[in-house]
Amino acid sequence: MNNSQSSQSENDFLDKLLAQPAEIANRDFDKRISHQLQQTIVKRKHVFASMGVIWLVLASILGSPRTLLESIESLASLAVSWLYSSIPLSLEHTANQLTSSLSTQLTQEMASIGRLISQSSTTGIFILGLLVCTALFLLLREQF
Amino acid sequence: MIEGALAHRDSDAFSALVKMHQGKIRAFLLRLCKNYDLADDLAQETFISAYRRLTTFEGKGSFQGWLFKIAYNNFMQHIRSSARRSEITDEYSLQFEVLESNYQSMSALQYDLEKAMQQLSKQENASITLCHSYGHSHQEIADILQLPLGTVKSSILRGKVKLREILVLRDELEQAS
Repeated sequence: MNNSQSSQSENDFLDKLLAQPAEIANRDFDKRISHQLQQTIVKRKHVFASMGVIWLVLASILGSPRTLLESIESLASLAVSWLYSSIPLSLEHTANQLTSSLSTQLTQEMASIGRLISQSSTTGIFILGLLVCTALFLLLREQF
Repeated sequence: MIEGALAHRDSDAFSALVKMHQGKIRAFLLRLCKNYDLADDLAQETFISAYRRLTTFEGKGSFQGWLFKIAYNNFMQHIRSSARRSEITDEYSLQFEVLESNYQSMSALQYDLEKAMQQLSKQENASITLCHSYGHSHQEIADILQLPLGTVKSSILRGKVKLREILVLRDELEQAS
């Protein structure tokens, strides 16, 4: 009887002791976590921004290579017209020659890029898209 | 607070949650890994991965239980990766110095308890800490440690018997000296 009573009281004592564990010192733990959280949030924003840019590029390539080529050509013609307006009249002839040769060269280059994009099979572009998606997924898993 | 952190991924609300639970998580990990710096690193990983996985918290159990589960998984993962890198040099069976400066306040009895807890197995240590120190039910502990309910119950009983023996023995030795 006495034995069971002492065992019971020992158990009660142990339970009370276990219920009051020593509190660990903070050692700036909160600050470190807050700092790391902020870094995580900034990284997340960067990931989202780069993801947006990659999707934009992918969408324009997948959407229509010709549209992409046309927009590059229109950008080139804009640059050429700006060049005309900013060069003095005396140099117009030389500039004309220079820009026309440049324009022809640029158009040729663009056309070859366009042909290359057109020639690359749709499967290839899809594989590229899939690879980018996988990379982004892995990156996102790491970031969040 | 949990809702705020969940709904908007509000870092301020989450920081408040960290403040609320960090002491328990770090103390739990310290009892398991017996190394202050490692316990802090694992606790840090726990909170960061909790923030990343906030949307997966279904609200079925307590938030604290969810954090303990992540912390325990991190600890087990650390053990496995250390074993893979052959870094295990019985670090988990080594006695570590209980430094009072690492605690906010510590009575002589609490000091003895921390020393005695070191002599329990990981499973016993974790089960007793979660049950008696942080008030989780046996079922919750089984869920956190991913163990059968019976194993949890027997771990707690066995651990408490060991603790009683260690503390009584220590008491007797002190009285004799």
